Amino acid sequence: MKRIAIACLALVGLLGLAGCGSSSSSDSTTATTVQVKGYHPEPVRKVARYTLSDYATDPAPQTFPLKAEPNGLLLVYFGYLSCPDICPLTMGDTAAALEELGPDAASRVQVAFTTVDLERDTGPKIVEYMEHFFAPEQIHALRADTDEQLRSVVYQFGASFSIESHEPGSFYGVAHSGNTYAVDDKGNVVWAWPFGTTGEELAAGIRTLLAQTYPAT
Amino acid sequence: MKTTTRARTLVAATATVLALGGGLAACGSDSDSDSSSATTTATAGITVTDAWARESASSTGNGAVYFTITNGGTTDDELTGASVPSDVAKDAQVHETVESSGTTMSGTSGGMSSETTMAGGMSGGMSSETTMAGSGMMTMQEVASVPVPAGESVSFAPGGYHVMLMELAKPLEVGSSVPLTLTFAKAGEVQVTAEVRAS
Repeated sequence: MKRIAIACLALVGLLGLAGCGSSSSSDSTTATTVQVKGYHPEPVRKVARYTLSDYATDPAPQTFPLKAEPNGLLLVYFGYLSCPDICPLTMGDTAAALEELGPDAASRVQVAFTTVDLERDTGPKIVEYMEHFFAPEQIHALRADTDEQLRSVVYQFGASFSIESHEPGSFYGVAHSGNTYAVDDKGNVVWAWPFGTTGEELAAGIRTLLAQTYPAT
Repeated sequence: MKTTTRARTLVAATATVLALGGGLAACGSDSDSDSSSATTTATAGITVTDAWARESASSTGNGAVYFTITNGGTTDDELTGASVPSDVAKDAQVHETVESSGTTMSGTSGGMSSETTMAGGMSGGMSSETTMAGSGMMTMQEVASVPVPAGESVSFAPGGYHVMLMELAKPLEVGSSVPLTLTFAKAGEVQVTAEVRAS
């Protein structure tokens, strides 16, 4: 029994290594089949008509329509700043993905963190948080002005969140979608990656999405 | 999603097992013996290695500490609590990140179903056939205890188990460290120093 358990562990270890490729991935060019994580939301979700306030602008926040720069991709994540585990993990993996893409492809990608925690997260705090992971020109620090605005945007992406009921000022938990969404320059949500997508998998997905969404470039 | 989390944890645990090599296997080999050997000091059996805390990304908020617990003894044990000095954080709790099944959407049968395979490279394009969507709602749960069976390792790793530092007194910076006390049902208190790292 014990031996079987150890054997299984070893097997999982091998599969895990093969899947993640760890950090030393030089084999990505030789692979004939790429495991693409995530899914294409259908029917197509159009989000360009929806706006949030972007605080990663100087000097005042600006209204930001949810779409990418021309020929680019906007990665949108819904989280909250006091999230200790998966939000920084996902942002770290996303930063690693941009690193892996190289400057040309990465310059076509911007990352938008949208807080679902309006009570605790201010715009400047989101900027500070995002600049921990990314260069200033890569980020959008998004916050809804009202709860209603936040809910309509979250709904339009097919995402979700819930705030634990609490007394004012006391600690509360937040549940939120772990997905990272890719939006094209028309404001269509073209892909969603689940929580746990590695930086390498994210980079592979972005590369393919850029090529597929903008074949002329 | 849960699958992914588990997989990560397992991979980490496997790495630890491999790293520790034969020593751990040797410990495990006699785990068939009954647990009546109560005289064995479990304290000697519990070791906590590779403890680290993630660097704070903002000036306020919470933190997370990760580590590997190895029970080299012959008695099952469990982690029942964690604490830090008040100049580190207001409170520390043992948490597990889980995917909650709050929203009902079509086709949810677990994390793996969100993967599609496509032909490689640029030519293949992204498959748009898969329309499943798990709710993907991630949340953290406080856990009362985490079993650490005799002869085995439990990995606290990103996306799974972690000790959450609630309301940090000051941001965690690379180069500093966090003193952490882990409490085990049998081994009692184990002092751990978690190095602050970027990731």
